[in-house]
Amino acid sequence: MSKEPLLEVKNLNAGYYKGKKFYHAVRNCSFVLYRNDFLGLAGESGCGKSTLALAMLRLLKAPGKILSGEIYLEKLNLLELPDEELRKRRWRDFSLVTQSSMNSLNPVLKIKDQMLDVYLEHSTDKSRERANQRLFEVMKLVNVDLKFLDSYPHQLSGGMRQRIVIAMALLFSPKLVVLDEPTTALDVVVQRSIIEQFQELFHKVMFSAILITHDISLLFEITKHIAIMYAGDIVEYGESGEVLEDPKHPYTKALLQAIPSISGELKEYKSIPGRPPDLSKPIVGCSYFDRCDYAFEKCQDVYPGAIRLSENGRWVKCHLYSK
Amino acid sequence: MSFILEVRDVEKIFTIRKGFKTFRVMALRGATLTLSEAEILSVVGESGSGKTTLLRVIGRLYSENKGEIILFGSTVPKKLNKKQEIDFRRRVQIVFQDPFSSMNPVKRVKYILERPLRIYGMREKDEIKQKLEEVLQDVELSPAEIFLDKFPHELSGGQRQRVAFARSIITAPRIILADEPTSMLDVSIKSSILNLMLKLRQEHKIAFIHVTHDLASARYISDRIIVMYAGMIMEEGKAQEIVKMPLHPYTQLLLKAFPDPRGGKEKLSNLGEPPSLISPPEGCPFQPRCKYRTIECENLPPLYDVGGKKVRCVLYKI
Repeated sequence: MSKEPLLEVKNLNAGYYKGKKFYHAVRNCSFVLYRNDFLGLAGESGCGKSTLALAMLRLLKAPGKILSGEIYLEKLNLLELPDEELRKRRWRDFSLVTQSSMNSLNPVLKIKDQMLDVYLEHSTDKSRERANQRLFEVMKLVNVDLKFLDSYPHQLSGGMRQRIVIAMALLFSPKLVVLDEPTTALDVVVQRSIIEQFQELFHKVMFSAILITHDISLLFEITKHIAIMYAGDIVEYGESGEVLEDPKHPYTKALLQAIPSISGELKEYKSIPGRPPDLSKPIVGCSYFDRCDYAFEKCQDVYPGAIRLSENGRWVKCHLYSK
Repeated sequence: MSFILEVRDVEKIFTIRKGFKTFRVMALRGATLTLSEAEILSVVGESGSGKTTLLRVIGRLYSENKGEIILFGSTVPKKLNKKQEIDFRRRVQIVFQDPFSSMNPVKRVKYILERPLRIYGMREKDEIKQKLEEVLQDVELSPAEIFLDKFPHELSGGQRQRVAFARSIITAPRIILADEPTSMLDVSIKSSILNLMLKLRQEHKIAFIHVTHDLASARYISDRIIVMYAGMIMEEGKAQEIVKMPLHPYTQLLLKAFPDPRGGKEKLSNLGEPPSLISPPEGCPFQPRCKYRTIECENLPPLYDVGGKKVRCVLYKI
């Protein structure tokens, strides 16, 4: 795999205003996504994973706000790009598949009209004929019969709608596709068929993807790299297999002990006591400090920076490894 | 061994109207099950498989169109009168999926927990207080005084679900019907609710019927698993055996589709979708998707006994 970075997020800080309070939902997030890489973002609800996804595509709307940071998509800082320039790149360079595909399609427009709308708006080529052709191509990619182009969203099953949203995201063969909980509302068998479809596309079309879900078993199974988020910060990053077999951060360890698994020996699963910190208050040291079994003095006062653990890019934000 | 609950050939049909047409939705087509004392039975299946309907029929939120429910040796009537209902609910309690909408948002935890006690005629203030503290301790919410004065919105999802369990055990029931109690909770606390169910079973000898789509949690807590598809029971057996060696092609599909970080990446292609319950397929409901389909599948197979397991599939015809 070529280790050429496609997307680089550096010290991103974002959050939401609620009255005078500011909820700091994404804190100091940094990570790199390589070309043709498949990154999974894992964490509990409220840990800021969706906010991170929206912020890095500059889709965060008020009361949300990006405070600081840099986001490079192929050396191009998205945060400094003028709005009009950014709009041109949306769908073409990067696209987003949102959490509830049920609601991301317009209920009163036929599938075909919605897809054409996106295509003609963003394409330099305004020919309807060629647009139609591209529509047929992407529908074939996701294995949906062409007759459904003339249907309304409510006539389709949840799995079908999700496939169509993925097809739309691939209209321009973007370099980056961000999937925010794409299969959460679906049954396991439907989920599996969509995931298999997506993996196939991943090899065929060659793009990079970020998958966000709280289904950690699924993430570990299908992604190449994984980033574990806690309280707005990525606390551990590495190759999925390595992180699964040998988790370093105490939070990752606890999380992996909390999830019942379908295979292997049956053992006792333990949940993580306590609750994540209040994001409207400043956190000085490690955000996991008060729930951590290994915490010592330094953890409360000093923010742990990323510590590189190995040559293949694995890092962890924990004082236990700073020596 | 005697059973505390028996469900015999229960059918449930919903009628829905679309414009001038009426449709009959066959939500449950002949479900039979038994429950022993202090047993945890998980009912798994996809959405629309009828698992929640089954639970609600047993819990008397719906009445069955056909069939019989026998609790402690006597048939539960379809419509309960006031006295029967009080008696029934004392022994059978329900815990719902969403712990927020299952509690009155403008009442404190104290009120929510007191209600059942008052309905069952407990009037002594001290006695009530003692009982409340006892159940909160049972569900590991301590110190009790702090939680009693809270409103549901002040609690986290996991704590709310614990209050829901506290409310259901306060009448000392023998059976709790739990409808996806962990599906709305975060991954990190899911297992604590599962552990709580194990503890309540151990300490109070409560039996559970646990409806879930999460096979991993079903495997973790239950003694037996029932797999449902299109309103029918397809396979039944000991939890570990079902997960290790599924017999029915549908169970096999379900298990292969389930995310497993250490799983082999066997590809499943052309998985199909569950059938319509308005006009379910003839014979075995899984046959349109089944790769082992034969001509015999056009007749509905019975549940065959295969080494202690029950399977509705002609492959296991003896």
